Amino acid sequence: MLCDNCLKNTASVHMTSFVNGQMQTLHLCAQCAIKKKSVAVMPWLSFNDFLSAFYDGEDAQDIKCEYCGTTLAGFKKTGKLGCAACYKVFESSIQPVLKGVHINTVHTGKRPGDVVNAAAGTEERPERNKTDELKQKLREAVAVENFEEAARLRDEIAFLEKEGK
Amino acid sequence: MRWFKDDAPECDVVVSTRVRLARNISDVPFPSRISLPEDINKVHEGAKSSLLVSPEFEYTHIADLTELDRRVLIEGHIISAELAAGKNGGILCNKDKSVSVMIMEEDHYRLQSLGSGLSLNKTYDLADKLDNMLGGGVNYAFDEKLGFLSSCPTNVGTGLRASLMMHLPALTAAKGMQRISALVGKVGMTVRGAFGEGSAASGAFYQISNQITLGVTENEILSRLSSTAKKVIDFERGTRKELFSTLGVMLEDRVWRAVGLLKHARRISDGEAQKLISDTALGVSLGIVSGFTSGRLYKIMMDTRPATIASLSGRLKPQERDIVRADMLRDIFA
Repeated sequence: MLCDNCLKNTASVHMTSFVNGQMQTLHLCAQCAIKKKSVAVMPWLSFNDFLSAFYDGEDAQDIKCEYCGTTLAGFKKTGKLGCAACYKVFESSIQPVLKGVHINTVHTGKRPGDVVNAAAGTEERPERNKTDELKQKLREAVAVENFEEAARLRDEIAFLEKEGK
Repeated sequence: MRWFKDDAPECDVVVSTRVRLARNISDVPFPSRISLPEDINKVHEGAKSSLLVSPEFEYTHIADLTELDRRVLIEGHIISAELAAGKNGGILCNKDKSVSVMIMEEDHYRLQSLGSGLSLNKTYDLADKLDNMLGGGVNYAFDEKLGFLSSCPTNVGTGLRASLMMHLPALTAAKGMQRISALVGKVGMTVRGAFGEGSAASGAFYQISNQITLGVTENEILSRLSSTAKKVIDFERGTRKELFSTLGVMLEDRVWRAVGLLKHARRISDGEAQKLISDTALGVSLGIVSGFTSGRLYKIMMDTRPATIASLSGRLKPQERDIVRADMLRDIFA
């Protein structure tokens, strides 16, 4: 998104204000935000900066994703991950963000290939074998913190996988 | 705006529905870290080979578009300013642009579907179909626990962002938007002005969308947004009636002044057009003005935006565009 003021730089400051009861949102680049005297520059300039509020305190050392080169410091600065592997590498730093933003930490929606029919309010989960179904149930059990059920499902999955089903 | 129908459900308050899905390929770095030309090519080719099997779709590399073409697409919410500014982006869309995929934006793929009025389910179902077409041809980055992996953890899980463009002139006039914003925030949704410019906010158009994408199913997200929107629609309709009964002729005057300007003015800026159409649409919903539907008015508003006019008329300067816009509006409203 371009800056509403100079129309040149990318907007990084998103100011929503209420003037005479009307909500106005201005998208500005950092330079224009500072230049505009009417805009109070907030301690967090962008949503990504704001997100850093959810990160843990100081880290002893910087971690780096060997696959794409993203560093933990880089992630904390931009709020962006570099590749799928980053999710594992920076897992402990991402968890607080997930909790802060989504409240939840476990996916319960569609998987690749599932057909969600919103008009009918249904979900078709085709080509799932028994283990996949149990894994989904396990995720749901963890999501609602039903750990007793989760442990039972985990054992059942381990048994089925051992049997090669 | 060929996809836009002017007789859509709840179109006196809800202008349009947008559904967006964030998707990435599993073994290629996300766009912010991608560097190898073959990786970039893989992202483009993945979308092309999955979707161009349907004759409905057309692929364009952003670099092949003129500056004006890009601005028209940004204005129509088909691409983002970020995609337009980059050199690696592409766009794949159907003929009326109701369904599209932005390639190499913040994520490898941003799938989008647009609908008129309040049409969350229908619009989502089109995006879901597109998702399964694309997912059939590429290997999505998907984690059993975290769902679809996205460049920013704020989109992880379903990757689904559903948003409604709502016209809330009465709640705005009654100074109720701050309260609405707070209430909507409590149920995990956000409200923001639909148009960037400060002047345009006077048209009272807002986007309401879900903030949470992880740990909720697609159907849950849609039904929560729908319930939230229905509540806001009730508030807005109630406030419109209340305003009319309190203000009476003062409100009628404001509406008819807007109609008068649309019928006779010789220069109208984009922001002013939005405000005038907003006032006229309010008048239509209260039965003060007849002969137009709210949906028709919103369509006129979207068809008279700056880049669209520039592209249609070849008039590039703002002052010249304002004259063309006034001419178009006079033709329609006379």
